[in-house]
Order: sequence, then structure tokens, then C-alpha cells
Amino acid sequence: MADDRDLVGQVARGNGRAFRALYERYADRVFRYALTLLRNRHLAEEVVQETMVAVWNGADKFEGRSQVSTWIFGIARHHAYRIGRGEVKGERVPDEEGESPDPALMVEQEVRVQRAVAGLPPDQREVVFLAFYAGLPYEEIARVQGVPEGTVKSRMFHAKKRLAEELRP
Amino acid sequence: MTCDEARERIPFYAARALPKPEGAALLEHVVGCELCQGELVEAMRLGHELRAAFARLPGPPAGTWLSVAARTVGASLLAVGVGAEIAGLTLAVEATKSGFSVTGSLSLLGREVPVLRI
Ligand SMILES: [Zn+2]
Repeated sequence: MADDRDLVGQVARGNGRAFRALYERYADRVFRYALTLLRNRHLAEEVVQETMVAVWNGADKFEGRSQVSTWIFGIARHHAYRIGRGEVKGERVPDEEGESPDPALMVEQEVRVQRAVAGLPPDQREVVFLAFYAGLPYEEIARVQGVPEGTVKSRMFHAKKRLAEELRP
Repeated sequence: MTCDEARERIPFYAARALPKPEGAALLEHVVGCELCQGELVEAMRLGHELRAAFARLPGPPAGTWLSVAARTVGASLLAVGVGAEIAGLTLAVEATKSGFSVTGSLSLLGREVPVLRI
């Protein structure tokens, strides 16, 4: 299986199949990331679209200094904040509570975990997502968030403390 | 490594997001420190729960790829094997001046039956 860098290289040369493969690899993660940031499915879909279009258009400018995932989440973050501020359609976006899957379909503990994550400050929520779900090392998370590594560590420290307290059995 | 330094790194280790050399240094500390062992166990359990909860979040709607493709790879690649998901049904999308036309056909006993045009 081609690695992410190979795919981006092929996308830079206009290879549509490589682009489709990259989409398959990232669409879910970018959508869930945007959902974690914005808590709104419609906006999260918009973020996926804008991110993937930007990946297509910018693949030839990817220099490989960071991981592909860092690059893509960085683009997604930019669009999530732009779209979240309502710049795209000029409207203020409501914070949709309960924009998670139907709780009836989930086991109780997962609902508790999602609620606890949703209750974190946005920067901490984002670190938790990028580390635990996207598997980004903390120096890559620092690049995505545009902050020093120490800030990422401290956000994680506080997030973990709070989650552990809330979810203690 | 001090306990404070270890505590900072434990969640990233549990997230499998700590660079290998740092992970090794962390474990060296944890082996000899009961308090940090407890922290690590708690972080690993939390990590397991977090991954499960994030994995339950929905993905983008099925039509998202079509919207992306329409703005990128263009019409030629939009015939993306929908047939693989719904046996016998194929979709073709053509660019026209007014936008995109979507046609679908169903292969029945070797005969092509057009089923949709949007
Ligand atoms: Zn210790």
C-alpha cells in the first residue's frame, strides 16, 4: 500500500485515483476532527470538502517537512475556524449540542466519554482528538495548533486530569 | 526523568503519540515509580475509551466525495465504482455547461437499463 507521501506526490501530478485513495484515508478523520472542533455535522462536511479541495490544489506545494497528517489537519483546522466563524456564508453558526450519534446506538460509557470530551475547553478537546484518535506526536500537534510544544503538553495534562476525574468508575 | 516530566508524557505514551526514545526514557522512570505506574494504567484505560468514543463518531455523508471530485479531479473520474457497493448499478457523471448530469444504469442479465438521470 502506498504511503501518504507517495499518494500526495501522485496527487501533485494530477493523479485522480491517488486523490481518491487519500480521500478514503482521511475523510473520516477530518470529518471527526471538524466535528470535535465545531460540533456541527453540516459544517464538518463543509470542512471536509474545503480541506480536500485544498489538498488537491496544494499537493505540489507540500514540502514534506511535516507528516502528511499534520499538513492535512492543519488545513482542516484553518477551514474549520474560518467556517466556524461564519465567514463562508456570513452567518453566525449555532453550537449544536448533542451533535453526536444517536445515543441509543452507543454503549453508555461511550456517551459518557463523548460528553466529557465535549465539556473540555476547545484547545484541550483538540489535543485529545489529535493525540488519542489521530495519533499525532505532540510536536506535530504543536505545529497544527501553532503553539510551543510545552503548551500542547500542558493542555494534555489538564485534559487528561479532568477526563480521568469525570470518568473515574 | 522526574515525576513531573513523566506525568507530562504519560498521556502521549498512552495515545501512542510519544516518539520512541522518549517512550523508552519514560518507561525507565515508570518501572521504578509506583505513582507513575498508577498514572500510566489510568491513562491507558482512558486512551482505550477515548479511541472507542471517537471511532463512534459518524463519517461524512456519502455524497461528500462527489462534491469534492466535482471541484477537483473533474468529471472523468467521477465514475467511482458505486457498482461495487450496489451490485450491478453503475453511475456516470458528465460535466455539462449547466453543471453536472448524473446518469445511472442497472445491469440486468447483461442488459443495461437506465434507472436515473438527474
Ligand atoms: Zn514518577
